[in-house]
Amino acid sequence: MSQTSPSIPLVAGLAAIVLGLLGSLLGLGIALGSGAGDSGARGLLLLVTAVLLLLLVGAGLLLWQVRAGGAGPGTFAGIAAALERLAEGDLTVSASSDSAAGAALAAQLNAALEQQRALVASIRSPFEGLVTDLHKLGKHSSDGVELSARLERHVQEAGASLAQDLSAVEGVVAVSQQAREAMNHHRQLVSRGQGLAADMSRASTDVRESIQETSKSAKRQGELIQSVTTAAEYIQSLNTKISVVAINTRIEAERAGEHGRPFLGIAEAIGDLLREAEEEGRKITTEVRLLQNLSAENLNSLEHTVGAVVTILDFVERIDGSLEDINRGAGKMLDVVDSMGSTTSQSADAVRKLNAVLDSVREQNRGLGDSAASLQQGVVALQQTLSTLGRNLARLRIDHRSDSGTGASGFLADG
Amino acid sequence: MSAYTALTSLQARYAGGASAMPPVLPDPEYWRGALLGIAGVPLLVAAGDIEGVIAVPPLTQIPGTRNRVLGVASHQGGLLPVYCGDSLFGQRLPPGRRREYCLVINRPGCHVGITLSRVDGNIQLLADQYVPDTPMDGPLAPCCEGGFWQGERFLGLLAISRLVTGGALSDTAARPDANAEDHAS
Repeated sequence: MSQTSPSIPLVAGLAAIVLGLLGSLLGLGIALGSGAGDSGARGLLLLVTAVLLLLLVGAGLLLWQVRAGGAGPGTFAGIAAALERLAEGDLTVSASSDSAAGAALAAQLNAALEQQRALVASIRSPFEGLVTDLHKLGKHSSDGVELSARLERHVQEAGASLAQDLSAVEGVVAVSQQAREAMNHHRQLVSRGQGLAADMSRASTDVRESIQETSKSAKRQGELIQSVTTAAEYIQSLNTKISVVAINTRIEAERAGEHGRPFLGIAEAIGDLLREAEEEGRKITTEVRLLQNLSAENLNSLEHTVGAVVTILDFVERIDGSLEDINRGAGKMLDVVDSMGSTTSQSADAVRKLNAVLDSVREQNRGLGDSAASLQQGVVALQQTLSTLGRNLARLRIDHRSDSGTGASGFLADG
Repeated sequence: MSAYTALTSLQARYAGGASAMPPVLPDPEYWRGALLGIAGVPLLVAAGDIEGVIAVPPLTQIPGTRNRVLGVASHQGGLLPVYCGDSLFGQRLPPGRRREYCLVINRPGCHVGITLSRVDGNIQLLADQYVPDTPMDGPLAPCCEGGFWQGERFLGLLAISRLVTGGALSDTAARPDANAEDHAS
C-alpha cells in the first residue's frame, strides 16, 4: 500500500489528461463533422486533431508505464503535475523527474509540449489572418448585396423612364401622322384656291374685255350725243335767226302802216312758231346735255371699272403667287413631318431595344443578388464555425504572459 | 186761237225765258315789241323805236376810239358805227367770245348799232300791266322808262331817246385812262 499510495495521484492525473485530450478530440470531431468552413480551416483542424492524438498516445503510454513499472512515489510527481496542467489545456508546463526513467519521460514530454506550442502558435497566426479575410469577405458580400439592390432600383427607375419616353415617342408618331393628314388636306385646299384664282382671273379678263367694248360703245355714244348737241345748238342758232327775222318783219310791218298789216300777222305767226320751237329746242338741249353728262359719268365709271378690274387681276395674280408659295411651303413641311415621323419611329424602336436590354440587365442583376446573398449566408456560417474553433483554440495556453489564449477568440468577437 | 196768235205767244214766252246777251268786252290793248338782252339784262324795245336787228357785220376798227366802239361797218349803203353793249353798260365780255347780233338805232343824228347779249324775239304784253316805275339797278336803269313784270322778272322798257341823249354814244374819243373808265362805267 505504501508503494501504491503515491502512484494513485499520478495515475489519476494521467487519466485526467487522457480524458481532457479525448474531450478536445471530441470537440474537434464535432467541428469537423459540421462541415462548415473552407478547406484551409478543415486542414488546420485535422492537424490539431493529429497533434491531440499524439498527445493522447503519449499520455496513454505514460499511464501504462506508471501502472506497469511501479515507479516510486516521487519519481513521476513532476510529470504527473505537468500532465494535470496539460489536461487543463496549459501547454506551457514543463515536466521534471528525479529518476532517470522519469527524466527521460519528462524530457520527451517537454519536447512534445514544445512542439505542441509551436504547432498551436503556427495554427493561430494564419487563423487570425483567416478571420480578417473572412470578415472582409463578409463585408464585401454585404456590399455586393446592397449594390445589387441599388442597381435593381436604378434599373427599375430607368425602365420606368424608358416607358415614359416610349409613350412620348409613340405620341409624337401619332401627332406627326395627324400633321401629315392635315398638311395633305391643306395642300388640297390650296390647290382648290389656285383653281378658284384661275377661274377668277379668266372671269376678270372677260369682264375687262366686255367693259372695254362697252367703253368703246360709250365713247361712240358720247360722240353721237356731241353731234346731237351741235345740231341742237345749230337749231338754237336758227331760232335766234328766225327771231331776228320776226323782229325785223314786225318793224317793217309797223313802218309800212296799213299796208304792212299782213306782214304783222306773219311776224306774229313766226313768233308763235318760234316760241314753240324754242321751248322744244330748250327741252332737247337740256335733255341732250343731261344725256351728255350721264354719258360722261358712265364713261368715267367704266374707266374706273376697267382700272378696278385691272387691279383685281393684279391681286388675283398675287394671290395665285402666294398660293403657289404656300403650296411649296406645305410640301416642305410635309417632308419635314415625314422625316420627323421616320426619326421618331426609329427612336421608338431604339427605346424598345433599350428596354429589352434593361430587362436582361435586371435578370442578370437579380441572379447576381441571389449569388451575393448566398455568399453572405455561407460567410456567416463560416464565421460561426470559426468562432467555435477559435473558442476551442483559446482554451490551449501556449504563452506564459497570460492565463489563457485570447487571440483567436478576440478576433472572432469582432466578426 | 189762230195759228198766228199761237206762234206769237210762243215767241213771247221764249223771249221772256231767254237770258240776256253777254256784254261784248273790248279787245284788250297790248303792248307789242321785242324782247332783247343788252349786257345780260333783259330789255323790252318798242318796234317803232329801232330800225332793226341784224347780225354783227364785218367791222373796221377805228383807231383812237374807246373800247366800247367796236368799229364801223357797211350797212344798207351807209356807215354804221357799232358799239359793244357790254362795255357800254359796264360789263366785260369774256375773252374769246363775241356777240352775234346788234340792235340798229336810227334817230336823227344817231345811227348806231349796239351789240346784243341775246335775242328772244317778239313779245306782246297787256298794256294795262305797264309799270311806270323802274325797279332796276345798274347802268341801264337810267335808260329805261318803266316796264312790265313777267313772273318774278322785271322787264325794263328801253327808252331809245334817253339812250341817245345820255351822251354815252357820242363820247367815243379815247383817253389815257380809257380802259379804267370803261371798266368803271
